[in-house]
Amino acid sequence: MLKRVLLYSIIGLLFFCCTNEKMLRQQQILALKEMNQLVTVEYVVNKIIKASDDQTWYKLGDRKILMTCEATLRAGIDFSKINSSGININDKQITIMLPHAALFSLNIKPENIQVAYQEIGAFRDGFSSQERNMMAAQAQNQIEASVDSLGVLQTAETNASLFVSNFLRNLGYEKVTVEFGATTTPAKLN
Amino acid sequence: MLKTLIKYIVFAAIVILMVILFKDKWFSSIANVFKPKPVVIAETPILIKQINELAQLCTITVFDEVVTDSSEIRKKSTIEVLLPDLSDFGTLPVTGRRIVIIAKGKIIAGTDLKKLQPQSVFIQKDSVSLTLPAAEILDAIINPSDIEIFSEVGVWNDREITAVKIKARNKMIDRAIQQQVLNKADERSIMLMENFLRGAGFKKVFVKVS
Repeated sequence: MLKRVLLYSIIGLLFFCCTNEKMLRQQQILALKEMNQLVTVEYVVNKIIKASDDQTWYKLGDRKILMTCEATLRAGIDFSKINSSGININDKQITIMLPHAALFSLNIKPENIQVAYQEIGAFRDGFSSQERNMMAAQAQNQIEASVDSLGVLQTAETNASLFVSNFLRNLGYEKVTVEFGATTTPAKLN
Repeated sequence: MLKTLIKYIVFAAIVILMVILFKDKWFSSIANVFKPKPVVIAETPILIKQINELAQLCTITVFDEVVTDSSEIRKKSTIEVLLPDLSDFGTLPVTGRRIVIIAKGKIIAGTDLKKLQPQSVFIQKDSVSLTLPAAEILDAIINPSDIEIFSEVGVWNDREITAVKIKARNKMIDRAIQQQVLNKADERSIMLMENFLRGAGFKKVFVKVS
């Protein structure tokens, strides 16, 4: 009797230990959203996607793939954060405080992802569309992570300053001074 | 009696030890041993191809999810009829390919301020009149992470898959336009520019769309 109890408890405990924790999924709501983004720069970047599928011990033969992708990064400033408290007017002189730039979008168009080379072992299947898609998604994450080093935000701020200065000059101001707020926005997509 | 008791104590100790080891992730789970390793891409450099200066006021984003498919059905040849068909078509006299994708994405609408002309602005003392260019779809984003290949029967090449994804993007744009996204973008652009011009010191502000 005790033996049987012990046996069941072992099976039960092993099952409990081997079960993966279920991730709680947040319900996504798709809707129409109002925005206030002034996009001032667009970076077009290229990346080679290189992968080798040789890590699964029981699969015979390797698979290799080379793909190219082109991504478009867009950055700018939040236009709604420009308010009267950040604007000083003195006759024909104006000083305007702009918010710091942020990355607004990253776009990898489907037509800009291309398979350049594939090498499939005799005992393996080719890469499926889903697998190629997953690799492109990894490239997307790598590009997003490199926004700071690409200098997208700095260029976005320079362009924003230029656009606002020119616009205000067209409105009749002779001297325009553009400043950026103290707080910085992290380079993360909304 | 004592011998049996020792045997059970040793047995229980082994069970407790195994639980501790599994719980502390000292051993990977048995299921993971036969789980195929994910294909991880190498860290390759990013090449800047182009930098474009823009002045786009993005005022509306529509988040959407669409399903698109493509299929190709043909009659089985005489040899194919004789051979067993392992695809979903089974014993049917037809065979073919089918792909179904679920794409999530966003459509961004707004005003391209680069299209403003010098004559778009008219100033008189503390009054300003601004004519904005009409709102347009500025971007349609469907990234690889937003695409799910729901079903894939038969072999589909890269170009064919891309065509299905483009079909999904066009469907999303059509749906956004049906939701009057351009009118809403115009209204919001007018509101934002009015606020900006008032902040810039103008008492009477008149903004319209051409």
